[in-house]
Amino acid sequence: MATEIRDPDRKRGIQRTLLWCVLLAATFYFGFIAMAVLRSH
Amino acid sequence: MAHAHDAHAAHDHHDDHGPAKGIGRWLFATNHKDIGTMYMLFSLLMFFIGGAMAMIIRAELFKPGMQLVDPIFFNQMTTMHALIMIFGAVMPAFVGLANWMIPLQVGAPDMALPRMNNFSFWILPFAFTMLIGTLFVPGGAPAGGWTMYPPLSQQTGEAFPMLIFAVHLMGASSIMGAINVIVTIMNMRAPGMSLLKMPIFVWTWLITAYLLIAVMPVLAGAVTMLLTDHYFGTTFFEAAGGGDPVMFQHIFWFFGHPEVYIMILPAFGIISEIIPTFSRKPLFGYDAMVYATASIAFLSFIVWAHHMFTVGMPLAGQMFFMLATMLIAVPTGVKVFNWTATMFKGSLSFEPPMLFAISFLFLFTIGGFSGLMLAIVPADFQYHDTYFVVAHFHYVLVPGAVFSLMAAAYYWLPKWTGHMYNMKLAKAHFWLSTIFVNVLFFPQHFLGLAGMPRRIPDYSTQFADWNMISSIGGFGFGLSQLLFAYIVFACIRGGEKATDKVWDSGRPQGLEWTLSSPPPYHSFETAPEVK
Repeated sequence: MATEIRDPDRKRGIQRTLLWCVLLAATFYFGFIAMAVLRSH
Repeated sequence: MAHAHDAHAAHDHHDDHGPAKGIGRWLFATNHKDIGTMYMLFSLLMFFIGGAMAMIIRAELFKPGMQLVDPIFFNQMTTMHALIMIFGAVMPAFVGLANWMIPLQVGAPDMALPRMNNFSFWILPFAFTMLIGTLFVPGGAPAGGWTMYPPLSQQTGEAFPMLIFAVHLMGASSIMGAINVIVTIMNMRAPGMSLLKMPIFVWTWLITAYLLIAVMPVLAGAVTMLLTDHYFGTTFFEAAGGGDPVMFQHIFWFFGHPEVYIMILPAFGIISEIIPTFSRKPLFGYDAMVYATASIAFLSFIVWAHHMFTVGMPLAGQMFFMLATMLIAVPTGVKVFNWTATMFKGSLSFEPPMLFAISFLFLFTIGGFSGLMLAIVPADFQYHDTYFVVAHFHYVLVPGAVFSLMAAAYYWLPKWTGHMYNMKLAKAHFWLSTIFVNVLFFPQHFLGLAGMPRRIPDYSTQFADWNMISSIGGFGFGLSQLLFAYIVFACIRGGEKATDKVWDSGRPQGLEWTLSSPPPYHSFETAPEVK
């Protein structure tokens, strides 16, 4: 079974870091596609 | 964002204290050690599949003329060899090491997101089954090179969507793995372990994980656009529709160059762990090593167009990318200096991990120097797409990244398994690997300088001698790795009992050495205090 993290502070920290990481990845994915769209004629 | 809570262990709860029985242990694995083991065994399998493809390439190039395979199949082999070795062998091996070692080194009970960890791993067998499955579809496997440049890659047959989907899956796996690493390091460190007290392997992985999160989505975006160009009528990269094939190259290399550092920064971390242990001295210039790693990561984002000098670009662009590339030699030089300074006046011993680390130091530097040669624009016009480039990146990736992985395996295997491996065989494996890797790749510098192009199945007779020597080196290196597999599996099965410190004569430092060998299934249930 997975190690459950019960400490609320730590849980919040994990969720916050996870969210930032996902946002960073999404920015690069959609950002580069948007750049290519803007550059095409 | 970083939390190293006091008494956090009291809040962490473990539902079970031993591994599940049977196949369920592996299918539903959430334990970082089990997942790390699966990653590394998967990587070993891919290493042998990609290696078998390399053997086909070297057999075909053994002498001039067409010997064994047709040219299309040869191109499929070069493309698949690269994709499998990069995404299937080297990257998963480092992720496996991260899974095993990061929780142990930061004093955490597990990775922060264990279920996502399971998902990250289990995507990979599907991705690679699909990728390798392309060999059996009409039109065969992708043959346009791992760079997938359009318009050539758009000519791929039925394999095209399989390639794109497989690359997306590999990317998703890598991104999830990287997120897990960052979240674990930022939130699960033991009390007292500030960022600049972290083991250097953890530091290099933290920086690598940020690189992964930044650039894997760029690759995903590029292949998504290839897919829409192919099936949905867009013309991102088709000149006929107003698109630009060169834009693909820019986007690809914006991913591709940091990717090189993704495969080498964790290697730097491994070498920085091993050299102090067997020099019996602390790492020289820990802070400088951390800053050098971060500098290399930053610079890796602003050098991508050095892969494209011959495509054509303004003189100012050529100058910028040439000088920015050369700048990478500075932090890399800091690292090589610090490793050497760590060994200086140390009480050295030459166990297999140290042998591989020293070999890494010499041979990776050769790859670094040939990289500097390639950074020089006018010289690159001569070297581009020749065997000199093949020699360069293989020196970086084989005696660089792969040797570091072997060093890591020999360093931590007794900790993982609780058994010592056969030292004599491991030393024999080292010497065979080091000799044959040079026989394999060093002559390729000469071939490239003499003008032999890469990615060709046949060549002019003037290149015959060095090609034959290179192929002999290739067969020798490939066979030597069977010995590595034997040593690893023999060690898993049994052997002399390893002590907790393992390298008692050395001075291994770090929390992982405070645990038993092998460590308990759930380690650090109570967080250790770091002074």
